[in-house]
Amino acid sequence: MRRYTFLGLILFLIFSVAEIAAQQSRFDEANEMLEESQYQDAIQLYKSIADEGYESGALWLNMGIAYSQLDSLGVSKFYLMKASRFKETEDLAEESLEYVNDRFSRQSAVLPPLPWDRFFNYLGDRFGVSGLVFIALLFLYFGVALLIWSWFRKEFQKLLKVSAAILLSVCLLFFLFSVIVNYQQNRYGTGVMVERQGAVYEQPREEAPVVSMAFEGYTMRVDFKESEEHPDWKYIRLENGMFGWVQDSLLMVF
Amino acid sequence: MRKIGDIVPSPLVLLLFPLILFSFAENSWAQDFQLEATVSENQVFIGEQFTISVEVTGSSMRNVSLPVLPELEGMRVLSSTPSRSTSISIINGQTTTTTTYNFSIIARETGEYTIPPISIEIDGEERQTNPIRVEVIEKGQLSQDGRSQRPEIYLEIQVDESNPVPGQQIVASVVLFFRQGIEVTSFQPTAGWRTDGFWKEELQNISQPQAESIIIDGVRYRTATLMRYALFPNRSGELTLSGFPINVGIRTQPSRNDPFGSFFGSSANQRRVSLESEPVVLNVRTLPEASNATTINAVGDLRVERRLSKNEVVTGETIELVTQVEGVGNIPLVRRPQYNIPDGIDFFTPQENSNVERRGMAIRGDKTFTELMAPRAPGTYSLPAERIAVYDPQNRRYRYINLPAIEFEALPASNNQFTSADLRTVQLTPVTGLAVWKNSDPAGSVFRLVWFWLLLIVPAAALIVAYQKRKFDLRLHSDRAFARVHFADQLAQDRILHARNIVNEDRPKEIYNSLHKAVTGFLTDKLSLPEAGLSDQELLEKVTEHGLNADLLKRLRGILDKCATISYAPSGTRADFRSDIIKTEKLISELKEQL
Repeated sequence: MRRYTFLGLILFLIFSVAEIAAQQSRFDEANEMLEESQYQDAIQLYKSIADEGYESGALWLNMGIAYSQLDSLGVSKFYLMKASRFKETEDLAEESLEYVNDRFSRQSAVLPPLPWDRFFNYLGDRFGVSGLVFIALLFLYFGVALLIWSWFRKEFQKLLKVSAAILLSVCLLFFLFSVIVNYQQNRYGTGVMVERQGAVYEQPREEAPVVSMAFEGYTMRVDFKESEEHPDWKYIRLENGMFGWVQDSLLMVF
Repeated sequence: MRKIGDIVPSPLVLLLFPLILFSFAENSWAQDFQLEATVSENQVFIGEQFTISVEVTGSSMRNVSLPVLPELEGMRVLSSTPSRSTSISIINGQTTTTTTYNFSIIARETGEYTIPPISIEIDGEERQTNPIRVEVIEKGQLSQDGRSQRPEIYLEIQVDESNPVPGQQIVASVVLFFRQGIEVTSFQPTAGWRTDGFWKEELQNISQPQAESIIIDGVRYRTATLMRYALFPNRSGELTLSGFPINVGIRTQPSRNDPFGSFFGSSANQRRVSLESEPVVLNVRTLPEASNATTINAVGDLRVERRLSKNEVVTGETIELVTQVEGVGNIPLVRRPQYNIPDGIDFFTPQENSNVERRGMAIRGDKTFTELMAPRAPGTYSLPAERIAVYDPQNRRYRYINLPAIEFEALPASNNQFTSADLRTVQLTPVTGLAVWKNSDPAGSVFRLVWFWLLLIVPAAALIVAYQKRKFDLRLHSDRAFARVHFADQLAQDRILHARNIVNEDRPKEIYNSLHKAVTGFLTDKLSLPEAGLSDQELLEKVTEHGLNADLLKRLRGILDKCATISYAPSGTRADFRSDIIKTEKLISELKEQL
């Protein structure tokens, strides 16, 4: 039995490595095409890797660069924004984004996000929901240990109880943060306008009054929950603070 | 109007041409003066005195005779000899002499009259002034209501258009009305004039306000326009200009000799009053839709031009696309036109420059939009023709300006030039080599994972267990009976152990004493009976009450009896001792189950 288990483990490792090697090989091939200015072919190869469920910062960054060479600046911005979420490509993606943003003929007014939005965005980006939960659990374990200890050690009972209360409060706070960040991440996404321009409507129909116009490269917050009932539309909030509906085909969302 | 026949040039005319020219020149020298007749008021009451002034202005002193008034119908001349005044001014070395003759007249009959031309001889030549129209009205026409309703001094905002379209200029004049006998010495607008929904520019066309006489509801007022503003509504609908606040310094008791006074005349009883005009409501019409044209929010008499800074450009370098809008209209509100730009051109931040003139009654000027374009590849680029819509408020329709298509050539960049493509490679660096791969399928929420709940259950379970333990410990410490019950078995076992330990020492009395204590102690602890003071018999009775079965009771009685007997008469072997210890141990075990 032990022998079979070992054999199975070895086979699993071999297949996993082989599969990753296959992605890397295609990625290298696509990079060569990118350097030879065969942008469309390079994009096809990059897409095939992504379609198989693999991703990396380098993949999204190179896709963004390839699209920028094809003048699809909106799509380029979308992939560069995805690349900026990976630690290994964050700096390069930010630089490239700066360059691509400068090339948009229209720039949206940007309303500074509310302080709590900034705070929860920071928590989400810096720690993620799992990180916050892990921190909360850490505080929970220490808090519970101190509380139990306080029940059986009379000499430091007060100090232990206060410490336990503080740790459990912090734990509760981090759990709360993780729930809020999780809610935000599940409810909202980031959309990038990839078409030249599109109207933002008051209602999810083309006859509705136009609230504003969105142009290529505009980023927006997409409300998935609100958009659920209208498959061809997305309920969005522009960076200038205006709300409305845009047609799904105009956006790329992550 | 004089009728002029056809002019046929003839040799005689040609001959006399120099003479004619000379004669015109002499005539023009002779005409180097101005003659003007004015009345102090065009509307006068019957019996009211007014003045006819004849003014001769010229560059040098002239020989001017006294003007001769013609016969005036419905009026009487108070003195046929006019008062005369002369003033000389020198501006930039040029001397101007003004001689003024004033006739005092009294209106006698109502009606509309025309003062015929007044004759005057200047340098021996007779000249005539233009006729002047004067209306004489009865005092009986005065409205007493009007007199009582209108205050002595008030302010009005007068607009020249009450139904403009968005972007159309309207002129709002701040007009002061004040009764005869009041002199305005100063005015100072105060903050608080709200013009929501308008773009506002103050017009610079009033150096010093001039007062004019006017009759309102049969009451003579003087009026002066203090300021003028150009307003441009920026949306349709009902818009309101709030009351215009102003502080005015006034004097009463004006000089009797100067019925009109100077605007800033001098007298006594000076005070300051705060005035505010009534709000003015404008109904701004909706701007019609422009058909098939680019709109730039231009309203007025505006021209639009578009040009390129050069016709050729090296790839990656910039070329300027300049759009200029100029003329009379809403220059400050004109937007940058959105052209259809072909692909392959990078656009950089556009610039706007505007030059607005506020003199006169309309805002005029120009606005220039400069857009920097950089072609990314060599070739010929064409900016398609555009049709720009400019709304003409006079004719209430759009005027369309066609901007022709513009072409320019993008030349290949030489090797040492920094091209757009180079720029791109500098800025956008792809990542090659080994990438860090991961599965892109979302792992789902952490709250749905089993390990999260397991990790959450562990501290909860630990808390429950610890709490129960703490509760038990507390009871052991606080509840003596509970502690005795809890420790009864242990204590009994300890006593039995003690007995077993001393078996080999041949101390039967102590052995059986320990066994007796083990049994009785176990029973009193278990049944929460007093620890001392109970005889064996009483203990057996208590045990019997708890329903102990007969066999067990019999064996208990036997053990207790034996212990009592041995205490008084110690005997037996070690084997007997061990047997009794085992019996006692068994008995306690059975008692534990029964009780």
